Amino acid sequence: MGARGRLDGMNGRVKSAPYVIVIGAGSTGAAIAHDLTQRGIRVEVIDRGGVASGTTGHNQGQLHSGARYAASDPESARECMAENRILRKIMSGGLEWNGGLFVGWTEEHMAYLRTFLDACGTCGIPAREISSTETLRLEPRLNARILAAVEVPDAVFDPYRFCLSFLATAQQAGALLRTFTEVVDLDPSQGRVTVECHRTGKRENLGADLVVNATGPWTGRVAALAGARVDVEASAGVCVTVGERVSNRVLNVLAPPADGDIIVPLRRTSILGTTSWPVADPDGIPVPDDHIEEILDMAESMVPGVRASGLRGVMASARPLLVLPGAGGRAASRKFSCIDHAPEGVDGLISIVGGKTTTARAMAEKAADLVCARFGWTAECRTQDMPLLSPRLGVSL
Amino acid sequence: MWFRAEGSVGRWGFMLHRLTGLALSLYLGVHLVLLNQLRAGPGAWDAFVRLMRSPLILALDALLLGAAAFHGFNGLRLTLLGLGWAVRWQKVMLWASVVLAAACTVWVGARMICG
Amino acid sequence: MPDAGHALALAAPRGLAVSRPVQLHIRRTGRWADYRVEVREGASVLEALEEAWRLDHSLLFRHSCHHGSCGTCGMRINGREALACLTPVAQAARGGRPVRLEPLRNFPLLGDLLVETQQVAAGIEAVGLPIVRDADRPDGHPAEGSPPEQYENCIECGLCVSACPVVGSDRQFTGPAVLAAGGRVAEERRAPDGLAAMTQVSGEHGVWRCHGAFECSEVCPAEVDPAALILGLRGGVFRRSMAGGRK
Repeated sequence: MGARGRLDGMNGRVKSAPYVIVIGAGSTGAAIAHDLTQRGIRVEVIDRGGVASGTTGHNQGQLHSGARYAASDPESARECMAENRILRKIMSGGLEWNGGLFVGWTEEHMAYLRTFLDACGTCGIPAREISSTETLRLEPRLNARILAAVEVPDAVFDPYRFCLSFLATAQQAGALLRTFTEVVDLDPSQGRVTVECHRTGKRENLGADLVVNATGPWTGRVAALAGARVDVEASAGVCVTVGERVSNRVLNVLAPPADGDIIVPLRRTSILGTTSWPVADPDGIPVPDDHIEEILDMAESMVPGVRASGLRGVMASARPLLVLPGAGGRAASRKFSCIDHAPEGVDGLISIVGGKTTTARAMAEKAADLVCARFGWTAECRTQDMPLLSPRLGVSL
Repeated sequence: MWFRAEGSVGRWGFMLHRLTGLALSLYLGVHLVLLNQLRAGPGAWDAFVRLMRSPLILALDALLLGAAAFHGFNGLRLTLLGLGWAVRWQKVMLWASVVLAAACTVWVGARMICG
Repeated sequence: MPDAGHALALAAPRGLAVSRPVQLHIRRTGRWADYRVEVREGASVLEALEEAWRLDHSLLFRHSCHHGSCGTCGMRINGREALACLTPVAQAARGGRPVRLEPLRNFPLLGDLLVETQQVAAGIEAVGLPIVRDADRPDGHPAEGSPPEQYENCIECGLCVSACPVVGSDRQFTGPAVLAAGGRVAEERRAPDGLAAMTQVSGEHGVWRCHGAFECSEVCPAEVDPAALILGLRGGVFRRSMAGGRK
């Protein structure tokens, strides 16, 4: 049992490629599986549930242009824009690519307009101011009191199919996927991952040269199984979906990021959101009725009549936020971190914390760089240019 | 297995069409066999016809007519639908087939029993 | 209504104000199992199922988006095909009765409520349906002058396949999901080859096998109306063959 690679210390004389187990089949795990597989590493992805059954599945689905973060977090904003361009290439034909609007209808919004445009310019995000007349022509359901809007290259993704695209591509290149397989114990320095396979009801020991922990808000828990420590805050949020497509573009409020200020179209529905509050347990997040009401109110001020479209679904999940000293909630960084646990005595385990689905590929690149460095494995990242397969081609999910 | 006691009116319509089709096919066989009675001569034939005019048999005949009526009307509906026409009215047509067939059954049944 | 132009920061929620008990009667592999859980007022059957899962991680079912866009939580709820995330507990447990959950029909059973639906996605891909189509609300789109786009309505959930009485009796029937996709290919501007799709689906086990039960359209949660697409496709194939015959 086990599939240990044997290295001679130098690439080129490797007898067999390293075997990496990735825990987590969300956007992070899927992107990492793809990147590592492209670099010639053997990958097995495991998840206690189905694909994207954690945080990624509840994603509001906004493929950021970065404009939202241009003023408050320029580094994040630039990264988003770069990934936006890359995803447009590698996932072409797999996104709703209609752009986004930042709309303003109060004096405060209009006062923010200049700051916003300048910040987008600084970050290299194409932003075009348009008149209220044109805005209402583009999106007739918007509040007629709109004073101005800015057009940015936001897009919409289906989070489940986002993961499936990466996984299908990785599977076709040889990666394995085992869903409903839950990690119950970890001893990475011995290369052992103990799992409970829920399909068979049996416990198994899987062998790996390295374990990548990509479990989102559960990262701390999984790392703890190996005796390692990761400080990740589970920041819960609620989104509300209504049964009507009220716009073709992503609609944002022209203001610093706040709760409930985004409407994302998806097929024939609209997803309204979101909020944030810290929770201790990412499983079993209580869905707060007051948040639902506030989200609907906010959306109603942007698109009158959206409430009447009828509630289709409510989703609550926890984002994994890196804990930075002093910051919390929205102020906590949406950046990500790749943590090698070897220095703290747990060899063979790497955790990835934070980030957002828009930058999943970039996170995966950094993580794969770290994995390769760990093995002395020289292989370049090719994911920025390589088109992904259709999400319909995943197997044995 | 196509026969299940579940689903919406469409599924019941599908099952009823199959059942009436089966019933009519079986009846055709039975009918042809019974017609052989003609060879038994006028006396036996008259006795047979008196039996066939008993209220129970007449009631069954009415039901059979209903089955044929439903199968016929629904068959017209399926022909239209199968060519991609009038798809929007499919449910209306299904209920119309049921109602018309029931009306035929009742009307003919009443006439047969009373007249 | 307050002017929501100011930055809105919401306090941590007050917690479950009202909760309701619900009993789930679940068809697991080879047996029935019952779970009693508490859910919020307005919860979906999927939320109740997740509560049951917290008690028993061996309970197999899929879920992802919780709002009817991923198509993974398809199952039979009280005997009827539905997405668990779009079915309110209040409706499924009306009168306090237990909610009966069973896996979809006509798919290989992997365990509990988990079935293998891959052939639906694979079949739709094989028939050439693009993932993204022209949006059905063609508002002005300034940049390239091309119409706005949206994902195909079909979320590949398999409810239609489970509900179809013909799939139940003919293993080789292509099935409503793939046939409907063929119908979409025939009419979609962005689809590469409508004629090839029509040929693919007009075989003996293709469109001609549809008996017009319309169960597929009854249960579809994504406004695909497969029955209309299939019968439309049939009309198209018929007219084509009539025209071809005259030559």
